[in-house]
This record gives sequence, structure tokens and C-alpha cells, in this order.
Amino acid sequence: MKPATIKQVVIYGILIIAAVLWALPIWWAVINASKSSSDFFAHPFYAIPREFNLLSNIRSAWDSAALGTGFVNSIIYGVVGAAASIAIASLAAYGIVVLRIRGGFTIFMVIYSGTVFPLQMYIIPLFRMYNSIHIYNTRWGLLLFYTAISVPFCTLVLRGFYSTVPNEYRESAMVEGASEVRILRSIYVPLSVSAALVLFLFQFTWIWNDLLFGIVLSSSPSVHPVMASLSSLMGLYGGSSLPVELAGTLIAASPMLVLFFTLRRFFTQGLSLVVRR
Amino acid sequence: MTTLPAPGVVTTGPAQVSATNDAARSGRRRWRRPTSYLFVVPALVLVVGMFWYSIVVTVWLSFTNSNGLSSAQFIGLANYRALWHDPSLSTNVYNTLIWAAAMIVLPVGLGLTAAVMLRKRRGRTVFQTVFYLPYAIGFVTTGVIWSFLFGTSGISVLFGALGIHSLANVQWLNDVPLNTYSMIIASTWQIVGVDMLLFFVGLDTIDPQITEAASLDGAAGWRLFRHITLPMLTPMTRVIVAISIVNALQAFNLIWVMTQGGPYGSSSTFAVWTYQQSFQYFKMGYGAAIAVVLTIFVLLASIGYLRRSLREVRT
Amino acid sequence: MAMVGTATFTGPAGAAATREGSSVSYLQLSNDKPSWTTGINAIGKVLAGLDGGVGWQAQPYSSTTAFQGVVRAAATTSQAPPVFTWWSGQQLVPLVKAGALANMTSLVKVWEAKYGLNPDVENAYKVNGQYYGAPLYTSDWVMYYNKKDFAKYGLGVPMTWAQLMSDAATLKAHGIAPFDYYVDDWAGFIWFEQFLLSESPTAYQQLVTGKISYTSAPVVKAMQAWKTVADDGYFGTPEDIDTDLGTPTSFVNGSTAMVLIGSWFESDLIHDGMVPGKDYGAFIVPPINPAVGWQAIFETGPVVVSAHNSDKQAALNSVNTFMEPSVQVKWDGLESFVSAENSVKTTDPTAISVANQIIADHVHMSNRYWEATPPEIAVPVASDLSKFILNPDLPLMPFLTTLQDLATSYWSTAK
Repeated sequence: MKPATIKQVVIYGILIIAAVLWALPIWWAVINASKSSSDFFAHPFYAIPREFNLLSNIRSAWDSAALGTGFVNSIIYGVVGAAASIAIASLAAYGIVVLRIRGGFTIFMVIYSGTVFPLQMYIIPLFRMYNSIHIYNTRWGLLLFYTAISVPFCTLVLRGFYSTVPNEYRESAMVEGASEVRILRSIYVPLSVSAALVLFLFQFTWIWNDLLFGIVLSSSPSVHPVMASLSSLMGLYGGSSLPVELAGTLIAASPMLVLFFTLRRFFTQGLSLVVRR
Repeated sequence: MTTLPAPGVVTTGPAQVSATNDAARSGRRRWRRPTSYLFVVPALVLVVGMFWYSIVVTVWLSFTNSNGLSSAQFIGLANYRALWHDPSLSTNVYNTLIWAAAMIVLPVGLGLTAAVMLRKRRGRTVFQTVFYLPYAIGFVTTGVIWSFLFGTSGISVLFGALGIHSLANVQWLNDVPLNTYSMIIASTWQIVGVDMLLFFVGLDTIDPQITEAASLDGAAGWRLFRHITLPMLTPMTRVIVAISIVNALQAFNLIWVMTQGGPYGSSSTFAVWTYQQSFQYFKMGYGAAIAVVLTIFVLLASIGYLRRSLREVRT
Repeated sequence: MAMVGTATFTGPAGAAATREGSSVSYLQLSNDKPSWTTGINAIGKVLAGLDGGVGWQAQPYSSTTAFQGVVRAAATTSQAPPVFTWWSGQQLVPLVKAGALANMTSLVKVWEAKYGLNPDVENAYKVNGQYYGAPLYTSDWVMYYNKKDFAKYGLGVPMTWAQLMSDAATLKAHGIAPFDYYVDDWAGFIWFEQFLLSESPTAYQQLVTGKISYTSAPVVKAMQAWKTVADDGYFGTPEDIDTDLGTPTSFVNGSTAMVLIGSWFESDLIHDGMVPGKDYGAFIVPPINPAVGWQAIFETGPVVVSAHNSDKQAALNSVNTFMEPSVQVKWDGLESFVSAENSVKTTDPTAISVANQIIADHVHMSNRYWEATPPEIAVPVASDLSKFILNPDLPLMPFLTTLQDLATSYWSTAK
């Protein structure tokens, strides 16, 4: 154990101050989510709650915003959407990088550019299309969207990753008569598990946090993703005041935290493989 | 360097790896079986069907005077001409560039600093969690929290209680250009943790033997960082900066939640402007033209990144 | 709710009804007011239980812009929602022009005859001589005041402008912000319309119909009166209206004493624990110039029926049932609203006191600026007015000229 130096003390000092500044808004969000309405209005926002009202606020938010259904829906959309897009992107990346199909670069640009466009402009064309092919306000429709929106980034990352896998593996497998699909499945996929987990975290988070497409492509609470359900609490016609809103948003964010803690250890390993490209 | 790279550890970046692959590739034939194309079909169908279709519709709309309701008439380049002469153009360009510059420099710079400081220190997990939390809670929650804090019952009250009256009277979201900076604060707060995590990973991939060898040679502290560590972080830095460019130019969600680009459009960026014109003013043709112009900017900006990274992978 | 589940996996936007039991069905009522969901569903059940058996089910959108975009995109197709909320006055015109709304003229004549309809409200749904909506809610714009603040400093309900100003001065001297002040995409018109009406109701009508300019004398005088109040420091720090009205912190804790807003605000106050009559009250803003007479703004919002949806007739029937006084009474009770029908009386004490004042002082009611002006003008002008709110010292005539330019570019191309 090295003895503490001035440099160490200074660095820790800076880090602690930064950490406190970063944590303050969350701390304030938590304590205000725990206040009753009268407590909130009567005292400044930085005051500690007089009584602990968090559970009752969560329940109000949960009930008024039908968060339960929203949670279930978003879990489905997130898990299936992220997983499906990773699978589809793996296929595409394999075709472009390993099989080296003609026009591969152009095809890659076509796929990647899908999300370079400002996403909010998609809402009316997609709304109209969804209505004409009768997938508006269906879980399938939203799943389709969430999968499609995740494909470009996953393709970008997996493409880079697959190009770092030495060709010898594939060649020796081909000598043994393995099909391309088999090579993809038994060589490339296992090697890229960590990258896939990282992609899963990122895409699940994006899907979970989506608000606009959840509102536009679905209208019933039974199809709504969680942020769409949650947003009905807010604003002028929301009918809830800040403590309940905050309680709602914090509880809606909790799966993101769970996911983060679960996947954290895979992170470091996985991302280094992404970077190596 | 005195040591061979250990398996699984990056030392000099992608060039070395693709050099190995190239040697292997030159000796084999290239297959062009038609079934190979099947691999890209699902991705293409999804992206072309959903997004390219929408892009084409939007580009077509930009040449019309559509209001989203009645039938649209073709008006050629009139929207683009109007855009060029629009008095809010300069505000939007200015704000978009400020967001881009800030969201590339701040979260990346702060994230890197935090990662370097925390490297090999005790309690790293706790700090990691604290800095990542804002991202985990999402932009809706971030918008709700910071809209309140920047409102009249938020931090102004705290500053007043602390006696710092100059800060207590600041209208964080009403003054121009302070409102943009305030939202940048909220957005930076949210993203630093992600960039910091990515830099941790980048730092972890640097072979410790190299840094040890360098410090034995006399390099220490800042010089070690600048000449050894930083260059080896380039691949990771490039990934982060590239993602930040696209996200920054498309900054919409947080701004819409906090100020809707106001007051009177003063905090609007291109991404906010296109939404406002399309869905508040119902000038969908005009909004589409703005979207097209923004996309051109984003494409130009990301081409730099893609071109460089593609050169090394050589597809 | 079983009915919601049945609706989702079949069919496009808002089309069809769901079947529950033998002859009862529910139509999706699309709206952008999520807090009314419980009320709409409750009244929808009431409607379903009455003749015709057609009820409503709320389909809320939490974003007004997304709601409008979606409705407009679907409006001329069969995917349009069978019933939906909208805005009155000029905001109906684009939909009517596109042929998206069912004509309700014959129904309105019946309601007029049977139940008695407030003529000002009724006019708000008239476009080119025909009626296209039924009043879902009507709100008066009044000044809510914090009774505790008023009591503490010995202030009474002001009956003259001078008294209102002196009340404001007293409050300001004690560190209370007299009037709440909003800056937002749309909130800029709130005080604008109040000052202009107070100056000249005729000028107000002429301005919103494009007959006079934003640079004309009455408008300039109104802006100067507004500036005087701002210079006196009687407005609080401008805040974002959506954030603040959802959680009216400064009004509830008394650091702001008065809010000029529509009476739908009351349900937010009650929700936040304020007791009507005890913690807050409301009054009509006294005229600056008594010769002009008492003026106030009302706001009314319709429920409209799609012309293209296959359930159009059932939708019209449900609206007809909704207008029956027995249903109106229940609806008002659910949402603390005031019915547009003369035969339906409200029970909310604040609304009663306001209604009494309207009668006693012969208050003349005008439709809100937002609905009285074509949206192509109202939207940008309301946004630009925040420039004045944030900086009342800006050069007035150039500012008003830019507003007039916006108006001219519309009126010159309008048919």
C-alpha cells in the first residue's frame, strides 16, 4: 500500500466533489418523489420530507399511468427487439464482411444510414404506413419498429467486430465441410457474445426510453410502452403534481439500473473486443 | 517495444489485425454465391421498408406545400428558398453547432478525465455507478428533474437561501443564450457516465507492459499520458466522438421536453425546428425541407468517421 | 378493462367499436387530455347505458403535437377516430375545409330548442354558417387568487382596475409576486387578449378577423397598458406554463397571489390539496376603462365526429345523448366543468360565484384569441409575444410590425 500523497488526496477530493454534484439532482428527485403533496408545496425542494410518502406516490403513479402494462410491454419490446436486431445484424455483418458480397459497402451504407435521418420525421410516414397495412396499435407493429431501429447500429458494431476475427477459423471449418450458417453460429457468434451483450444493453435502453414512437404508433394502454404510459402523468393536462411524476419516472427507470448492474462485468470485456475492430 | 503483444490484448490498434487478415485473404478466391445475399436481406428489408421509404416520402414532401391534411401541391424548390431566407435560420444553425461542439467536447473530455482519475483507484465501482445513474434514468426523467430545477421553484430558491442573490435571480431557461447552455448542462450530466465507461474499457485494453516500459524509460505523469496513453485510446475516442456527432446534431428529445425550442424559438436546433414546423405550424413541406438539410449535414459529418474506420477494415 | 383489450389487436386507428354484451358498443374518443381519461370513461359508460347503447372510451395522447399530427394524417381517411376532441373557432376551419368533420347543424338546432345553448359558445362551433362540434367543456378565464395572501394583507376582491393595481402594489411591497406570468409556445396571448379586450372589444374582434392591423392604435394602447403593469413589477418571473400549471408551486404556497387562467385550472388546484372557497377564489378582471364595460374571455372545446369513419352515425347518436341534461350534469360533476346548456346548473362554489359575477356585472364574453384567430397567425404570434414578456422594453412598433407581417402573409393568401 503506497502512502497517501498530496496528488492522491487532491484527485480524490476532486472526484468526491464531482460525484456529489452529479448525485445531487438524483438525490433531490428521490426526496421529492417521497413527499406528500402538501409537504412538497409547503417547503423548499431541497428540504427532507416530513413524512415518507414514496410508496404511496409510486402507487398513485402506477395506477394513474397504468405503468404495469407499460412495464410488461416495454420488457417484451426491449428484449425481443434488441435480440432480434442483434440476430439480423449478425447475419448482415457476416454477409458483408465475411462473405464479402459484391456491393457490400453500399449495402452497409444503406443499412447504417437508416438512422442518420432525424427520427421524429418518421412518425407521420410510419403512422400512415402502419394504418394501411393494419399493424397500427399492435404489439407486432411496435416490435417491428423497435427491431428495425436497432439494426443499423448493431450492424455497424458487429461489422467492425467480425472483421477482426481471423479468417483461418472459417477456412478450416470450410475444409471440414461446414456451411456458412454453421460457421456463423458456432464460430462468430460465440466469439462475439460480449459485444452482443453490450449492444443488448444499449438497444434495450434506447427502446425502453422511447417516447415519441410509442405514442404515435400505438394508442391503447395495453400496447403502450412504459414511457408513453408514464408521460400521460405529465404536463398541463397530466393531473399529477411533481412528487407523483417523479415517483413514476424513478420507478420506470429502475429496470435500467438493474440491467446496468447485471451486465456491468461483461461490459469491460465486451467493449474491448468492439474497439479492437 | 521490447515485448510481443499478448493474445487478446490490443497494442497498436486495428491496423495490425487487419494486416494479418489481409495476408490470409490474398491467397483465397472470393465466392460470389447468390445465397450469400440472403444474409443481408432481413436487415435490408427492415431498414429499406421502414426508414428509406419514410425518407423518400419526406424528401418528396419537401417539394410540396403539404399541411398534413389536404392534398399537397408540388412547389419545387420553394421551401428550400424560404429556408435560406428564414430569419430563424441563423439561430438554428448557431444552436445546432453549439450543441454539437459542446456535446462532443464536454462529455468526452469530462468522461476521459474521470476515467483516468478513477483508474486503479479504490471505490471505482461507486463512482462509476454515480456517474452512470443519470443515463440510466432516461431523458424523460432528466427533462422533468432539470425543468423543475431551472424553474422558479428550483435552484433559484436554493441560491436565495444560501444568500447568493445574483444566481438566485437567473432565469435559466428564459435568457438567451443561457437557455441553450442550461440544457447542455442537463445533457452533459446525463451522458458523461456513458463516455466514462467507454473510456474505462479503452484504458483497460492498453497493455500495461508498454506503459511500464515507458515509465522505466523516464516518462511519467502528464507526458506518459499524452504520448503513450492518449494515442492508444484513439480507436475508442474515435468511436465515442463519432457517436457524439450524430447524437449532438440530432439533439431533440431533451430540448423538446424542456423548452420546446423556446421561448420564441431561441433555443431551437435544426432537429427541434423540423418537428416544430411539421407538428405545431403544420407546414409539413417546410419541415421536411429542414429535415433534409439536417440529414445532409449529419451525413457529411459522419462520413469523416466512416471513411477512416472503413479504410482500416477494408471491406 | 376488457373492452380496451378487444380494441387493440384488430383494426386501425380508432375505427370500430367493440362489442360487450348484446347491444352495447364503445367508440374510441381520441384526445390530448390524459387527466380526463377517468372522466371520459365514466361518462362513456353512462352513455352506453342509455338509448342507443353507444358509449365512449378515452384514447389519450400525452403530446398535443403528436395528437394533432396523427388526427390530421388520418382525418380524411376511414382510419380517422370516430369521435375526438379538438379546438373551437378558427381551429376547426382546416378540418372543415378538408371535409373531415360531420355536420351537426340539425342536431345543434334541436339542442338549442330543447335545452337552450349559450349563444357565444354555440357560435364557436360555426364555420360558414354550419355547426361542426358539440361543447365538451367551456371555461371562463378568470383571475384565481390565493385567499390566504389576500386575507393576510387585508385585500378584498377588486371591483375596479385601480383597486386591482393597488392590491398588486401591496402584495409586491410584502415580497409576494402579484400576477403569475407565463412564457411558452402558446401562453404569450393570455395577457395580450386581456389588455386588448379591456381597451376595446370591437378592436379585438376586428384584429382576430384581420380587419385591423397589429400596429393600429387600440393594439398599441393595449400594449402600453401591459407595459405599465410590467414596469411596475407586478408580474412574477416568467415560467414555463406546462411545468408550472401541472405543479403550481408558487400559487399553492402563496409566493404568487393571482393567476389569470381558464377555469379548468381548478381541478389542478383541488388535486393539489387546495379547498375551493377557503384557499382560493376567483374574480373577473375589472375593466381598465369602465366605459368599455366588463370583458372576459371564454374558452370552449368540442367533441367532433369524423365524416369518414364508418361509425359516423353511431358517433353522432352518442354525441346527441351526451347533450342530454342528465348526462351533462354528471359530466360537469366528474370534471368540475360548467355546461353550455342553460338548463344545467353547476355545483362548484367558485364557478357559481364567477357565474353570478358575470350576470351581475353584465360581463361580455369573447372567444379566446387562440381560437378566434386563424391558427396560421395564432401560433407564431403567441410564440413571438414571449419576446415582449421577457423584454417589455423592446422597440414596440417594429415588434408589432413583425406580428402584422405574420398576419398579412396569411390574410393575403386566404380565400
